[in-house]
Parts: sequence; C-alpha cells; structure tokens
Amino acid sequence: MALTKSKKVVQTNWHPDFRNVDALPDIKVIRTDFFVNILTVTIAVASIFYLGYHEYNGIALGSQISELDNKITSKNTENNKNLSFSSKFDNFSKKIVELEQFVESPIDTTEFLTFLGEAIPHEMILTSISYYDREFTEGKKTFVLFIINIRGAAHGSAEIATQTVYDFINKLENLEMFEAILYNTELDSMVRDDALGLFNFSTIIQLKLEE
Amino acid sequence: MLTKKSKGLFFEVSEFSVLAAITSGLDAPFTVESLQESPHDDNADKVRDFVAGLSDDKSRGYIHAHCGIYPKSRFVRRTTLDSPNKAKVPTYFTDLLNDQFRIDPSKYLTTIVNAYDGSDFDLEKGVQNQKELVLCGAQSTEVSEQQEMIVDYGIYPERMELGTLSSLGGLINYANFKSITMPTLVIEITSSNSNVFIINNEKIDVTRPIPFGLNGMFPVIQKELDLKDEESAKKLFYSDTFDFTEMGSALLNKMLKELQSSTGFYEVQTGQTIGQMFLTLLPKNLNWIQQTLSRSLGVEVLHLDYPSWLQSQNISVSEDVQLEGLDSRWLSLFSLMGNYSNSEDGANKI
Repeated sequence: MALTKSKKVVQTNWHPDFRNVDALPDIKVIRTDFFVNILTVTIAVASIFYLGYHEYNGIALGSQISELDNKITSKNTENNKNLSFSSKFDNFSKKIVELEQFVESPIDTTEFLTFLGEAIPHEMILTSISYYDREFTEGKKTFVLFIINIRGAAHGSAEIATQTVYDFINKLENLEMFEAILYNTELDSMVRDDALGLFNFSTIIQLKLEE
Repeated sequence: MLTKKSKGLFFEVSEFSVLAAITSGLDAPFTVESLQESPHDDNADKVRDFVAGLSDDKSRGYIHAHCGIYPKSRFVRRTTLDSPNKAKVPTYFTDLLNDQFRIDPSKYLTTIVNAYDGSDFDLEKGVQNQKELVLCGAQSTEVSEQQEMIVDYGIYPERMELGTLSSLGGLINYANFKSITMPTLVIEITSSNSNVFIINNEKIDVTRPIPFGLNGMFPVIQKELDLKDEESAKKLFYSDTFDFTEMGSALLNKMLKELQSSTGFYEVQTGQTIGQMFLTLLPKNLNWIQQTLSRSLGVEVLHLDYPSWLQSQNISVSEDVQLEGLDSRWLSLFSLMGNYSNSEDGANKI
C-alpha cells in the first residue's frame, strides 16, 4: 500500500500533501550540501595551512637552535679562555685605575709614600691606605675635604700600641706637606686582635683643599 | 541572512477552471492581494501564460504555491474503527481499501486523517480517540501527472493536496464559525463522477461516491433537444446560451435519487434533518443544477460569507479584491489557505 509519508511529517489539518518531492525540479541556486561542503573544506584547508605554518616555523627554529648550540659548543674552550683573560684584565685594570687615581690625587703621593715608609715604626704595619673626596659644609661655606684613611696594626701591650699609634698620627699631623691644608686627624678605631696579638687601628686625615 | 519576504500563491486546478489567489505570504496572517481565474484549457500554453502573469516573484523561474487538485481517481471515504486493536494489524487498512472500497492500494497514494479535525491518523497516539477516520487519495500515476502539469505551468508546489478534502475542512471550519448546528449536504459534481458528503458536528459524517457525473446528462440533452450528437449537447451544456432550468429535474433524475437515498438514510439513522446544501466546483453557468437540487430536495443552499470567514482566520483582503458576489467555487481556493486545527483552536464563532 503506497501510504504517504512513511516517515513522520507533521501535516496541517485537512491538508495532507501528495507531492512526489523527488520528482520536483531542483530550485536551489546553491545547493545546501555544496555550500556546507565548501565551507567545511575551506575550514579544513585553513586549519591545515595554519598548523603547517606553525609546524614549519617550529622546525626552522629548532634547526636554528641546534646550529647555535653547536657554535656555542665549538666556541666554549676559546670562550672560557677569553673569560679568564677578561677576568685577569679586569683585576689588573682596576689596580691600574686605582693607581692612576692615587697618582692624580691632590697630594704629592710620592712624598707621602716616602714619608710613610720612613715614619712607620717597627711595631706597626700598614694594611691599607684609602682616600676619597667629601663635600663639607661649615656655616654658609661649602668645601671639599680630601680624606685619607690609613689602616694598620700595632703590636705590644695596649699602652705601648696606643702610644705607637698616637706617635704615628702626631708625625702625620706635623708633616710639612699637610701644613697648609690639614683640617683634622683622628683615630677612627683601635681594636684588639687576640688571635694575632695585635691592635688594629684606623686613622683618618682630613685635608681641606681649595674651595 | 536577510531575505526578501516572498509572496504567496494559492492555485487550484479542476476540470472546469483554474483559480488563483495572490497573497502576501503562504502562512496566515496574510493579505489576499488578487483573485484571478481562467477556464481550464487543454492547451497548456494558455494556462502557462495565465500563470506567468500572476506574479513576478519567482525562484529559478517557478512561482511557489499551495495547490489543490481534483484527480479523476480521487476518493474520500469514511470509516469507523469498530475495534481499535484492528487498526494495529498491518494489513487492516489495505484490506479495507480492497474489500470495502474496491480500491487497489498498490496503485493508489492514500492518506488517513481523523474525521473530526483532519489531523493525520497516528497509531502511536493510540486509537481510542481516533476511531472516526477518513481515507483519501488518488491513483499514483494520476497524482504524478497532475504534479507534472502544475510544474509545467511554472508553479513549484510547496504543497499539493486533494481539493475535495480541503474544501470539506473549510466547510467544517465555516460551519463552526457560523455556529451552524444542522447537518450540511455537500455535493461535488464533475464530468465523470460525483461525491456526496454530509458534515455535521464539526466532522465528516458521511461520504458516498456516486457513479454519475455531468457527462451522464448529455444523452438526455441530445434526446430532449434533438441534437445531432452528444458532442453538440456537451457544447451547449457548457455554453451560456441555453437555460437548462426547466429540464433540470429530468437531467438530474439519477443524481436526485442517489441524493434522496443518502439524505433519507442519514436522517433516519441520526434523527437529524439536513439543514442546508452546498455545491462545489461548478461554474456559474451551471448554477441551475444547484437551484434544481435545492428545490427538489427541499433544502436551502448555503451561501458563504467569505469576508467575515476569512477575517476570522487572520486573512485580510486588499481593497482591490471584491469578495461579494463570488460563487461557491471559491470555497475550495479559500480552504487551501486555512490552517485548521481542532475546533477549539479554529475560527472564532460569531
């Protein structure tokens, strides 16, 4: 029995449809299937292209990384050598700069060093000499102080060591080259080192330079 | 995506005429913008030209339309399920068509609707409320031919239905709208056969085919008027030149007997008297048939109030369209437009 509508189609009441849909002309300008297929294929192709592009980039980057790694490895030994030279150079360069700066300091460094060599008693050793400039304001006047910080150590008893250091400072104060410019001297610190049996001291000489 | 709203076309082809309504859409609410008709011509070119002139709104050269057809082999038959379980037997309806209605189901397209509301018969919804049924259809080959013909005219059918069934649905809706409580006798006469229906209480109560059509009158006309042959009688019959009213009873003698038999049986069975009658399809020049039948049966003709009925269905009419004076043929075209669910959802009652 050729009953209409083997599949469920809701028909309007009193209006059953007797068309043979398969025999009707195709009136679609663009078939839905075609449109859907084209859209699907386009999305698929675009996705493949996008992934392919990123994949290619990834491979290219990997290759570059590998190449650079190889270069780094091949240059390692030379690089380490250069680093060592660089480090040594750095250290020497600092010393040279330091020396240059010392020589260029406002006092006659040769005379000062000569004095130090002669003035240091046997009971004393010097460990470092450092210097710096500092602005100083006194009332309305501002001037630059050239400050020399001498560190060392003295041995003997506390009384003898203290006397030794003070004698040394006294000599510094009376140094002819400091006569016009000496602003102040002070014993900055004096600390006993029990292990070595010494007294470490730090003394500061403040020299007032031209304003 | 923005699309232009398409106009609608309702198109009916019977053996007498081609009726068309141009509307603002295919689903209510819409406006009937134009009504046009053309005699049904065997010359397809004339009908094609008629269709071409209906609308410029085409898709790939076709106007989309809801179509009504009247294949000669059409049938509309009423049945009642005595035992709901019988319907579950796979061969029940095929046997019914074969045995009771003498219809070979293998050659026919058939659909089953509920006699009350015209909805599809659905076994899955249970058969308790689906006992009163209407089987309708036509020969597959003829339906295909009708479809080809419509497409050849330049119409793409969005829906193609039996005009007979939609007309009955329309009349049931109208009767409900007008609160008509008495049974209505509906007669559909074509050249080769006729159908008699009685609708009552918002359902198709009776269906009966009558193997008598207009062609059966030609021998009588030939004899009565002493014409050369039946062809001459046929030409005269369809012309406007002769008034057949006086001969009406003689010409319709066989028809009247069948009708009286049907209505008499119905009135005895139900105890209800036929209140009015309605004749579908026939052109104006055959109006005498309606008058003769009405007089002979003693039943008033139902004249339809198209304007208010259409309005009740959210179908408006443009100012250029004149509904007053339209004959009974237009019921079938307007019935194509209706979206009839059950009576509770149907047209508003006056």
